[in-house]
Amino acid sequence: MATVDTHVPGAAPAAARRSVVWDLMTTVDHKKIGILYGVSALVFLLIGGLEALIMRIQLSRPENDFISADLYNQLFTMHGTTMVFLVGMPIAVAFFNYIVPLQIGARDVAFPRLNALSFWIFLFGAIFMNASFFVGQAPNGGWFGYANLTSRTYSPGLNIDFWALGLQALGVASIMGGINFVTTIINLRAPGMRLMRMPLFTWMAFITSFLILTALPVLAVALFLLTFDRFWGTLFFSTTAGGDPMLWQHLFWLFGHPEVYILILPAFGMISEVIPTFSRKPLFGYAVMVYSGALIGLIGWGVWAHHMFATGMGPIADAYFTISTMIIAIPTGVKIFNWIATMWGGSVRLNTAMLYAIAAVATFTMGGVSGVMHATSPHNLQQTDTYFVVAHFHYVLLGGLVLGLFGGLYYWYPKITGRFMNERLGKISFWFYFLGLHLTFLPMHWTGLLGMPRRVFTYSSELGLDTLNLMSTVGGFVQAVGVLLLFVNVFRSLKSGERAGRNPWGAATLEWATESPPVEHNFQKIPTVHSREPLWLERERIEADAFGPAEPMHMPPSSYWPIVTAAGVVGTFALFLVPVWWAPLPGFAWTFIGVLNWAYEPTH
Amino acid sequence: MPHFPTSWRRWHGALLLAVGLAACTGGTEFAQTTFHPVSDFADALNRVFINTFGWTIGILVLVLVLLVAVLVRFRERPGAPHPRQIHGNTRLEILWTVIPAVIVTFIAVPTVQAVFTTQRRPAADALEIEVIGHQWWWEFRYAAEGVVTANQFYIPVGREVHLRMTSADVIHSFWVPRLGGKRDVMPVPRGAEGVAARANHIVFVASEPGRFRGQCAEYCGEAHAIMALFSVAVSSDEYAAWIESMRDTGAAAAPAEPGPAQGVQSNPVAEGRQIFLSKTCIACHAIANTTARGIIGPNLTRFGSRPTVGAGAAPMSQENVEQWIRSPQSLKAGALMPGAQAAAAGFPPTGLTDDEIRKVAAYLVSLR
Repeated sequence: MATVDTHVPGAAPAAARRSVVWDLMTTVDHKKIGILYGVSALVFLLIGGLEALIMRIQLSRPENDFISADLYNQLFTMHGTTMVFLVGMPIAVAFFNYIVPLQIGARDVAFPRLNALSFWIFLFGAIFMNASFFVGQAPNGGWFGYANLTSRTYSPGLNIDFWALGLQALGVASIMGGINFVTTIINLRAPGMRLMRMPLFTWMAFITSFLILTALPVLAVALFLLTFDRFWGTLFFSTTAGGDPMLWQHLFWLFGHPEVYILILPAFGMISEVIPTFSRKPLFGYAVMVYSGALIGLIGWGVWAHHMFATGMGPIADAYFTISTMIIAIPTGVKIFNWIATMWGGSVRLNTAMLYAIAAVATFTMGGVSGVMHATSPHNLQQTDTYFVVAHFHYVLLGGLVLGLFGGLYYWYPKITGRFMNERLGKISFWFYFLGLHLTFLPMHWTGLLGMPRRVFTYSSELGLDTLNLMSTVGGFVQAVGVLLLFVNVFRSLKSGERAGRNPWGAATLEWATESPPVEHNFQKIPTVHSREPLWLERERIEADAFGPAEPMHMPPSSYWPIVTAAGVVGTFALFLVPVWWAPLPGFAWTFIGVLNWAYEPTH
Repeated sequence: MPHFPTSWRRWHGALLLAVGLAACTGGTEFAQTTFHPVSDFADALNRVFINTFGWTIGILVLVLVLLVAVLVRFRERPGAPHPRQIHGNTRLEILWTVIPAVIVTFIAVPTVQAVFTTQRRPAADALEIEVIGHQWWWEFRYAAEGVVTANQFYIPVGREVHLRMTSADVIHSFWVPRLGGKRDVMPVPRGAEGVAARANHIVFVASEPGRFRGQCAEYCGEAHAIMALFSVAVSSDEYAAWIESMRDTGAAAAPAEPGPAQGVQSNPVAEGRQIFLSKTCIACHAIANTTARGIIGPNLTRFGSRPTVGAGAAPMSQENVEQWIRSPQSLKAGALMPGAQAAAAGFPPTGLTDDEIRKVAAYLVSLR
């Protein structure tokens, strides 16, 4: 895209005649793909949330029979899988797509068609996995699908096949996205945008993309072993043949723990944008925030077996993973103190975005604290696989990730749509969500330590946990009200929101220098940057670039080959469900045709 | 073992108070609480937890206080000057890196000590019990004593117990919270190392008598939620008596033939025994000192003394045992035992009539 062309920005009469749907199906514009990711993720948030509510109804009293054990097992598996792979990751990727190119002063991502391919593989893979509900055989092995329960012997149905094939497809999409963002951030920064001048959100996107690029292949390997065991009779996890189910656990958590940071670091990035903007102060200790993020990503590779303290690894391994896990609390703590120091002495404006950001810091800290309790490996033997863990990771993921993302949504919505979200409704929905979250998950710490294991569709009234469980159920519905109000706000504000200008918050970073919503090519001329807070310190010069005469540029044309190829890729995975050896061949042929046409498609 | 005598007790009291307040379940007994340890193992875990709890809650309170202070002191006010632009303060940042590092040390040292003390090797005279996890029940084998039982097992108070645990199928996790932390019960790969090298272990000394509830803590398939077990800690005399009553001497006791002559006056228990020993029951189940020698299903010696049917599926009663025999899946979806009319897990239906079911149940409940 950096090549010189004589394309006149804004003049695309042929595209204007085509329908909106066709436009979205063929778009390679990072902003539209970002919106596609965001909307899909919010739909899956509704589905995953509905699954959670059904489970909470079942657990609202002991020995309840609202749903069967089998359905419950499918629901908790799909709730976890959905929230991690179909909500947490794509909603972060939605913001990467929309915001990162704007923040670094680029016209698009490095590989726009690959970006479209990532999205369509993600969407088709997600639909494929959820289609399992329609045949009554949704995945039922838990979101970490421990071998050897997932073997053909103990899980003879299609459930685990849907899971393994669907996740493999989603992994392909994520790895492509990782490649795209690493390349974009390294190569497409505006002149003068040195690494240590990048906004914190872009930095976290950069680190996250590295983690995606390195961690997802480990999951792919594990899933290949599982798929081979299930389809072609290999024996990687079969103990009767000398295989070892522990291999799955090590591979899965070697992916799974970096995955936790893949989920949380983007939210850290958002909080680090929102807090300085609404405190009217630059981020406190920028360099340390960058280094601590990188350190968390790095140490995140050395702690995976803290998910496995109960497996009997022996005291040496337990001691090592205890210490490495506790060490990761230090850079995380530094981030929290730096956020507080950013606000300290500032002029804190408590709008909805800022409320979410501050609530995220407080709630995430609670999740961090129970995380250190968790790392206390001897007592981890009491906590693990109980509701204490469920409480812990929901505090981390809802407290850190979801609250941070909702803050980011309120923050960037005016940039994306040109309108503000309603503040009054925003605050009402915030309080519902925030109080509901704590009402659901705070009691779960006790539910767990008083003896309730996770993943049980029923519990004995002997346990004495009726009241605590009922509290969590009520809290779940309070949260749901908050989320529904947020959705109402998102849709109503599209039409009725107050108009926002270019930089309604008076923020410092480059995305606020363009129109809201930005023009297709983002900037008339790529601005040159001389500082970390360009719109605070060098606004005139930046705006002269962004709104001056357009420089010659080349924007990539739309293409339908990404969606065609994505259909081929996911279709091939899906066809493995048909029990004849040649079933996937049409899928391979379709994919091949897609790739071939893509390769020969003119892009000028 | 690290020792925190007085301060620990204070924390413990505060913690229990907090639990009581937050749970609002005034006076309810929590059958699987981790807060009331009854073994040295569970006790050691609790102590190290309370240490970590104290430090981390302290940090949490600090962070929350700072956040509130920010919200009170630094709210945006009309006409206030633009805040001073501060980019950082190296000394402060070093401070809040070093202090957490020191706190982590205070947490990590007792933790790592406890890692080693709680995974000690068993003493030579420890009572060794083999625990085998099955979908979805527990088997306990006292090899030296010649006792096999299921879903409820006895241990002597004050004597070291060594559980050696493996699984017959998928991964389970043995967890009796009041006796200590959980350990996964793994299927052991067949290989050169042999089974002994890869079994998992728990070593503990029970300090109080009582019946302590536990349940499987690793998701293990459809009926994972209904895989309870009961650990009964008794004095060494009671334990010896229990062993004696459970021991299989190898000689099948002569069946007390009820005989058809007794007619309508017949004893349903004796008839039930006759039916049990002559039908398909014995293909899977064993009862000490009878001709029932099946090994696929739970051993039913002194079955009637267990508190539940089907590893927690229903309380022990004549009615529930009948229902279980008629249709195990009606009490526990997924159960692998065939019912009277329905096959399960590849086993054909037992074909027992309602009358036979009533008598077999009477027999089994009578085995106290």
